[in-house]
Parts: sequence; structure tokens; C-alpha cells
Amino acid sequence: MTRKRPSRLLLLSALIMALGLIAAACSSTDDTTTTAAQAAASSTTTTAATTEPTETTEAPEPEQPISNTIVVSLSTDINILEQHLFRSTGSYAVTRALYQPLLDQVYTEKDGALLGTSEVTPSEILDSYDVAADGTATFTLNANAKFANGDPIKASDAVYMLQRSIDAPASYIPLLLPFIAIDSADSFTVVDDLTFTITPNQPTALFNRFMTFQVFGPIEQSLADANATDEDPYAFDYFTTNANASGPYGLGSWDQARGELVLEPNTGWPGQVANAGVIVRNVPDAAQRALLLQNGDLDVAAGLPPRLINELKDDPNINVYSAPSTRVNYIGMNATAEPNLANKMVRQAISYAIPYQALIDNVMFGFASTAGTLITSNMDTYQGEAAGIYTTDMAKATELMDASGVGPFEVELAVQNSRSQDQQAAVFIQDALRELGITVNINVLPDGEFAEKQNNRELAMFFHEWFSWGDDPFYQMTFLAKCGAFTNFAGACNERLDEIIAEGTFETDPAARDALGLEAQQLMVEDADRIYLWSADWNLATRSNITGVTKDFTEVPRFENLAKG
Amino acid sequence: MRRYLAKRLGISLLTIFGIVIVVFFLVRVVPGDAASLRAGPYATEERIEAIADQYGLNDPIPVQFVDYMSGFVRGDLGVSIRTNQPVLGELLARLPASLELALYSVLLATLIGVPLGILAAARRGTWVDNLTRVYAVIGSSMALFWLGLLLIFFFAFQLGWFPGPVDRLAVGTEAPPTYTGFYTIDGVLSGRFSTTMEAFRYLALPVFTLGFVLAAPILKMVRAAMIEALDSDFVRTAKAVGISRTRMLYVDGFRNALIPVITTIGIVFGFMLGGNIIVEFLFSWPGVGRYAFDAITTRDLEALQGFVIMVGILYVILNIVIDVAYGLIDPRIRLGRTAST
Amino acid sequence: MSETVPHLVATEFDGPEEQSRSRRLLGLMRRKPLLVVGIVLLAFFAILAVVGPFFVGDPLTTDPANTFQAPSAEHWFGTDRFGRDVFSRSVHAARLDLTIGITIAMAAMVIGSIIGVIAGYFGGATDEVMMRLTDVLLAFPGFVLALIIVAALAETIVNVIIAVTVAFVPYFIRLTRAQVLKERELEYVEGARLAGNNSWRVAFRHILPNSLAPSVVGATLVTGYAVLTVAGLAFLSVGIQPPTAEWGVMVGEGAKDIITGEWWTSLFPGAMIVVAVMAFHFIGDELGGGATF
Repeated sequence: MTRKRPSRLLLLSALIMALGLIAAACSSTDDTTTTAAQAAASSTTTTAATTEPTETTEAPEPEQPISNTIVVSLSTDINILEQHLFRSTGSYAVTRALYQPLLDQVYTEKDGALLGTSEVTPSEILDSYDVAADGTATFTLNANAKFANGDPIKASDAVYMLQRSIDAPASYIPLLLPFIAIDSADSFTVVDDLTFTITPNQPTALFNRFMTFQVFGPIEQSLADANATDEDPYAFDYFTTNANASGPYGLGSWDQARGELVLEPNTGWPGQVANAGVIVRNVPDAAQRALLLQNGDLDVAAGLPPRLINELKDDPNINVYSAPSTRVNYIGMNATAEPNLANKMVRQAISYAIPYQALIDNVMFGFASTAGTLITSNMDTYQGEAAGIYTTDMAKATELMDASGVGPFEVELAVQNSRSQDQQAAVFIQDALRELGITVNINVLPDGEFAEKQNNRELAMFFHEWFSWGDDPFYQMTFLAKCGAFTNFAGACNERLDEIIAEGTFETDPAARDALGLEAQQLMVEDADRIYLWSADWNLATRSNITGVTKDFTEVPRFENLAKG
Repeated sequence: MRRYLAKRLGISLLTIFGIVIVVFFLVRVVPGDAASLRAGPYATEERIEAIADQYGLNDPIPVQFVDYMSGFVRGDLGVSIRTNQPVLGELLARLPASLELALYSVLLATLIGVPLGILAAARRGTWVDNLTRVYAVIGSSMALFWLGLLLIFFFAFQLGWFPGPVDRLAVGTEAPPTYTGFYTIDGVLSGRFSTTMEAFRYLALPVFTLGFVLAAPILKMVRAAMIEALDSDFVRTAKAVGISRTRMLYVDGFRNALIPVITTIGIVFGFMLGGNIIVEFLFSWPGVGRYAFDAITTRDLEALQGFVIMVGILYVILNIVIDVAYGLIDPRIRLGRTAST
Repeated sequence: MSETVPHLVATEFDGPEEQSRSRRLLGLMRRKPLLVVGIVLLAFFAILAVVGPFFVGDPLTTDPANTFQAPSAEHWFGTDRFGRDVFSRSVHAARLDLTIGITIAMAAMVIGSIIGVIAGYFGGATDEVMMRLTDVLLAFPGFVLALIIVAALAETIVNVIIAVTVAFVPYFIRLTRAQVLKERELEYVEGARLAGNNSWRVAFRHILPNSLAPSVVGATLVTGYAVLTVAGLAFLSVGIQPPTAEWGVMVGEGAKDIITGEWWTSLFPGAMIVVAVMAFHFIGDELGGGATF
């Protein structure tokens, strides 16, 4: 009798645990979903403090799913809601929903997706838009356009935003402005309550395109002034966690710890929002995003690596959208960090040794096209064959390596921790270069450390993905190849290429652009400062009942056209 | 008692001071230029310089340390580089998630470890004892990340009994109003029982992962302490005078074994405060461990520093609590004497 | 005892019971079957780590045509996303992980014992300062301490070893010190002192050797924990990095495959970790260190 007690105690506790687990396993989740959507629909607050876990504390209500709320997960988290200081694509996508740019693209529908064309049109908050021959642009606001708090959007608000953007110290806008020939706040003038002008120093090809970016979306001046401090005259701190939207959505709530942000349609926005609200959910791991999409917990998942996209495209409940892009994925070779890379023949030998097609097939699962040079195969002025871009040729590689006189050496190849496809490619490249006597040490770095070392030009070989919102070969090269440009991480410099970039940037004649483009490509092939791996496609996966997927210049997901069918 | 507590607190304060020093200087060595990280990738040299000035990053390290300390005593742990928000606030917002996970895990570990430990001690040397010891070895040899992964694979993906490793509640389920920060309890308090059940479903796999592993040290300690207690003179005497074995085992034996057991449970809980980075990472649990992981990958030094200091302090406080609990459980222990040689 | 903060190291230590040396081994085996299990497992891993890598393929060779092959006669543990053979990677990893684990345990034991002897034997202010510093280190869970040290140093294997060693040193300090405090009072110490030996000589030539037993048993267990810590860090992509053939790295890489159904890339290396650590823990537990660590 006495000896049985311990077993019973054990049994009892085991039983309790088991019951608990079973109870947990059996309780259905169906009746508990989308209460946040409800919160979005019922909450009237337009701003949310982030440190408070929840904004809404109403009494429990019967939980009913609201069908037309879209649950989206982006490729990164959302860390800052400031339209000029955003640092992640997640933040960009949300600020694009909160701040309405002045112009928008004209879209054409293809395979169920709205693909942006290069043509622009006044956005919902504008009545009209005109550009004079000298480049002066006149904007007239829609008198019905309102901020989320109900105040009308005035010309002074738009001009305030423009001035603020010039002064935004930690944003990239000061780098954009030279391309549209703006160098001072004097270029912006308020004409009347609803009308204002932008007067660049000369007309430019990129002006219209830039005006579709969220960084040029009006912000309410009086609110900014009310929250400004001496150190922070533009109230950047306030807008880091608060918003008064001029765009299609207002900020419903933001539970930053859980990574859940709720956007609710802005009734003051003159356009038509196709859904009842959007929940943006941070799911850091791409594989988990894919899984949640398959389970139906997510409606839209962005930033999925090619392997998962490939997997999902066979799922009948999921639509995979993909389209060629002008991204370029390359490996920079920095001669200052590794002296053996100063030898051009070594760089050319490496360029011949790379298994380009195997990378596109096995790493990118076909969701990529040939890069060739910085002017990729989907970009204006691309002439790969004429420029003689590299294809895999081990014989030539060995020949060049022998001719270079450089013996076997070791080199470090840096990869970002968050980019699994690059890590995968690195392993293939490591294997390929072994045949040339080059020992590649793959160094996976945390993203922050990677960026810092890349900025300091400390990395001998490193992966880099670049996507120009400017979508223009000369714009692309300005950032990546111009001597001394801060994003020219390979540190390469070719004076003739600089001349071509300078000429091409403001050249408007297609034939002349083609000629300049070809010469640039030939120079880049000859110099072989970078290994041009592939040009990754844009892609997005949604549940099959979702419509209204939109691809604009930035390729960051847009929300206002999404709807559940 | 009072004198002891005063001394104990003094030493703890010293330890906390030591923690802050160690962490502050360690973090200063971490690669990553705080000013350029803070300024973001598009900043100009002037902007980086201005930021460095604003945050005192150009000051000599000792000056920076004094600044940090003076903030620290006022409860200021700095501003996150990644989000521009106070680190303390961000940590406090995430702490309940970690505590809820920790509490349930330790609870489960205790429910497994204590009965098994008593059982092993009672049947010392038999196959039952050997079996529990094999479990203890497996438990303390278990790689948390691997066990978690297996559980996810079988119970979330293959069988679908539990949700996948994301967060504390389903996507789109609104968190219950905050009373305690524990969703399972807040759900009940606000009458949203379905939310409570859902929170349990999301807790199940990470709690089981941790509970399975944490039960091992508890089991080992209970077994050892019980054996010692059963071998002690006074239990032997009890046996001689005919007190029933059951009473002896559970009442007298266990009471004597209680102190080391409480200590172990306390230590296990302390381990959980910072040691569950792996599990929070694996299950995307929005707690402080996950926050620390993000801080490391993004080189958010301020956030990392805040996390480590917070863990250190919680650990020190926990140890004081354990010490005080000693005195409450067993008045025979005179705390003052254990405090000095 | 001046243990003011209860920690993983208990102050009392039950060493192996005294027995006549000739019969000890046999007796242990009969009474402690689990010890035998541990020794057999350890021998298996020792052989695997020493000679295994000579018999299996290169751990880094990729094979784009044969990615994600399920386990088969050709690939016992299957292949991963690069077409690398998971079995040969696991075997190479055995050598790396065990070397790292043993190095850490040895280094931590040596450093910890020296400090422990100094603190315990000399006592007074030396002791007070050293123990307060130990308290500070012990105020962090070992994993967090190792994590922040690796982050502070560059992420190389040597730095991982340093970081994890620092995390385990405090346990050995306390363990040795507690033992020294007991030994200090014994007669032979007094004898050595009276024979004219100076304090350092007494501390290191007489007391230290006699105080090592608990630390040696502890080191067995710490080897296991060190392997777990290193692998755990690697799993979080801190410390040892892909494509190094290391168990934690492999589980970390394989974790991404679980969702798409390729379980073998993470299951096998993870199982290797657990079984290898078990080998050390069976031995350490059975030698009496069980309730200590």
C-alpha cells in the first residue's frame, strides 16, 4: 500500500498535464480570430503609443471575423513610422499606406496583378498636376482630401513636408534630390491654399517617378509644430511612433512587442480602399510566413525566398505573383581588402568560374534572370551579348588564372545572416573557386556588422543586392560604380565609366543612351570588379482569394487595392 | 535577520554595480560604430558626427560610463538604436511574455521533477531509480533547440495539434486587456476564455520543450536531497519508533529536502530569465530573449546592454528572494550564520 | 562557508566512495550500469571523432544535382540543400564539437581551480574580492554571458572557446574553493606547513591536488554543457558560422527545411549532440557530480 503512493502521485500529475495538453489541443481557434480587425473597425484613435501592449480596452465583445480585413506579413519588421527616417521595407510599406505621395503610377492588369507602368498620374489627393517647359511643376490639391484627424490637407502642409525632407538629416532624400535638380528649399512655393509649385533647376527624367515615393507625402504642419522641441524642430521623435495619415490608411493600433500593426481606412482619403483594414504582422522567419500563408492565417506574405516561392506555386490555395525586376545581385571584389584581387586576370578568371545557370536554377529556382553587369537584362540599354558578358567557362578561367601568375590564395566571402539564398550561393561559389586554387572562407555576419564592414570597405568579397527605385541604368551606376560613391562598396573606379554616367544621366535620346550603355557594359565586363550573379524577380504570395496585388516602382507591397474575393 | 538582510542587500548592490561595469565595457568592445548605426545607412559624415555628439559617443569612455550610470540609477537604460525608443520601456513591454513562459515551464518542470525525484529516492537502486536517472541524463543532455524543433515538426506540422511557432496568439487575435500581462490570466479576468485557451495552445510546445529539460536538475536535486534526508538520523529514529513509511517519506523526508529543492527551482527560474533566448527565437516568442536576439543581429548595442543588465539584476533579486524563503521555510536556519565563514 | 548566493554549485560534494583501488573499477561497473553506458558511448564518440573523418567524404563538397536526398544506403543521413552528405558533415562535426567541448572544460577547470585555491587558501581580502567578482559573473546565466562575450569579440572558433570558458570558470572557482576550505583544516596541511613549506607551495603542491576530485568530475559534466552551449550559440548564428560542419550550425540550417518536410538535415546532427552530451553526463552523474551541476 505504502509503496504505491509515489506512482499515484506521478500518475495524477501526468494526468493533469495530459488533460491540460489535450484541452489545449482540442480547443478550436476558429472562434477567436480577427478580433484585432474588430478593434480596427471600432477604434477611433488614429495614433498609438507603442509601449502599451494594447490600445483598445473595451469590454469583451462577441468575436466575429470581419471578412474583408487583410492580414499581411512583410519581409522585415516595422521599427519606425517616420516617413523620412524609415529603415526597413516593413516601415516603408506602412508609411506608404499612411502618407499619400503626390503622384501615382498608371497600372495595367496582368495575370491578376496590377503592374505599374512608367506613366504617372495625379494621385487621389491631387486635382491637377502640370509641368511647364522649364520643369516647374504645379500641383493643385483635392479640396476634399483630409488627414486622418479630419483636418484638410493644405498646400502649406505639402510644402512643409518638402522642406522637411530636405532637412531630414538621417534619410536618403538628400541623395535623391540631385537627380531631380533640386538643391534648396527655395524651390518650393505655396501659391494658394490648395496650390503649390516645385521649381527644379532643370527638367529631369526622374522627377515624375520620384513624386510617387512616400517620402513626398504631405504631413500636417500644425501637428508637427505642436510636437516639435528645440533639439527636434521637425518632430521626428513624435512621428516615430505616431501618425496623422494623409494616405489611404490611418494608424489603428501598434503592438510593437508582438509586432502587430493595424491600419484602418482613412475616411478623409478621397480614393477607394478595397478592404476593411489591414493587419500587418511581423513574422521574422520566412519559412514560418510561408506556413502561415498555407494555413490561411496570413493573406499576403512578402519576402519569401525563391525556394519557398517555388514550393508554394503548386499549392492550389495560393497565388504566387512574380515578375522580372531590375534588381542586381552581385559579389563585390575589393582589391584594397585582398591584394590578389587587384589583378584583373584573377577577377576575370573568377568571373568565368561561377556556375551562373546553376545559381539561377538551384538557388533562385528560376525566379531570376541574367544580370550580366550592373545594367541587368531587364533594364533599359541592356546589350549583354554585344558586351560579351560572362558565362561559365572553366577552361578560360583556369587559363586566365595561370596567366595571372597569382598562386593559390585564401579570400573571405562575407554573407548577410538574414539572406539564406546568398549563403546558399556562397557554398556553390566556394566549391567552384576551389578548382582555381582559391580557398573561399565564407563568413556569415550579422546584418549590422555586415553593413558596417561593407561601409568601411573592409570586406574582400561580399554579396550585395541592389534595387534602384530610380530604375535607370545611369542612376544605378551612379550609386554602385561611380568613383568614390558611398554605395560603391567594391571601391572600383573607372574614369571613363564616370564620364559615361555623367553624360547618360541627363541624356534623353534613346540611341545615344544605348551607345553609352553598351560602352559602360563593355567596361564593366573588362574590369570584372564584381561578379554579376543574377537579377532576382519581384514576387509576392497571397491566398488565392486575394485580388488587387500591386507592383509599383518600389516593389514594396501596396495595401489599398487588396481585397478578399 | 535584519543585519543579515542589510549585508545581503549591500553585497547585492555591489554585484549589480559590477554587472553594469562588466556589461558596459563588454558592449563598448562589440564591433559596430554606434553613431553610424544610429544615423542609418544614408547619413552623411556630418550627421554621424552630430549624432555622436548628441549621444556623447565622442566623450572619453569614463565620462560615458558616468553618464550611463547616472541614467541607470534614474531607471534610464538608454535609447534603442533600431527603434529610437527607450530600452527600458521596450524591455518591460516584453517581459510579461517571457515571465509567462518561464512560470509555466518551471511549473511543469516541478510537476515532473519532484514526483520523479521522490520516486527515485524511495526506490533507490531499483530499475525505477535507474530509469528516472536515465531521464535525468537525457533531460540535462537535451539540446533545447533540437527538442523544440522536433516538437514543432511532429505536433505542429505533421499532426497539426498545436499552432506553428509564431507568437503568443493567433495572427489577428487581439491581446486581452492588460492586468498581469499574462494572456492566460488576463483572458480569464476579462472574461475572454477563448483567448485564454488559445494562449495555452500557443504556450504548450515551448513550455513542454523547456519543462522537459528543466525537470532534470530538479529531479536530480530532489533525489539527492531525499536520499540524504532519509539517511539522516532523525528519519532513522522515526523509522525505529514505527512511524509509517509513507508519512516518513512525504512528510518528514520531503520537508527536510525542501530547501535544496526550492533552491534548485529558484536557480532554474533564474536560468529561464535569460536562458530562453533559444526557445523564444525558435518559437518567435515576443519576449525579452527574442528582443535580445534581434539586438544582437542588428548590433543594437543599447538594447543588448539593457537586456543583459536587466537579466543580471533580476538574477540577483531572485537570489535574495530564495535566501529569504529559506528562513521562512525552515526557521531553524539562522541566516546570519550562513552569511560568513 | 561564505556562500551567500546559492548557485548551481552546491557547497558539499559527494566524491566517489573510498574503496580499495584494485576493486574499484569492477565494483563501479557492477553497481553502476549507467556508468558503463556512458563509457561505451564516450568510447564510440572518441573513435568517431579521431578516425571517423578519414573514412567519410569531404564535408563541404556540394552537389547541385543531389540536393535534399532522403536517407538511403548511399547517404545514411541524406543530403542537405547543397547536396552535401549529412553523415560526413556530422562525423566531421563530432571531431570539432568534442575538441571544443573538452578544451573549454579543461581550460575552465585549470583556471577555476587556480583561482579557487588562491581564494580558499589565502582567505581574507583576496578571497572577498575574488568571490565578489565571481558573484558578478554568476549573476548572468552562462549562456547570456557567453553570448555577449562572443558578440564583443569577433566571431571565431577561438573566441567562442574563450567566451564559453569564461562562463564556466566561476563554477570551478566555487567548487575548488569549497573543497580547499575543507582541506585547509586537515592535518597533512598543518604538517606541510610545519615542515617549512611556504604558503604558495602548500596551496599548490599539497592542497590543490587533494581538492581536484570534484572539479574533475565537474569537468566531465561541463564538457557536455560546453558542447550544448557552443551548439546553441551556433544555432542562433552566433559564434561558429556556416558552412562549418558543426552540429549546432547544421541544426540551425536544417531548421529551415523542417517546414518543407526535409527532417533529416536537422534530426541527425541534433541527435548526435544529445547522445554525445549524454555520454559525458552518464559518466559525470554516476561519479557523483549529478546533483552538483
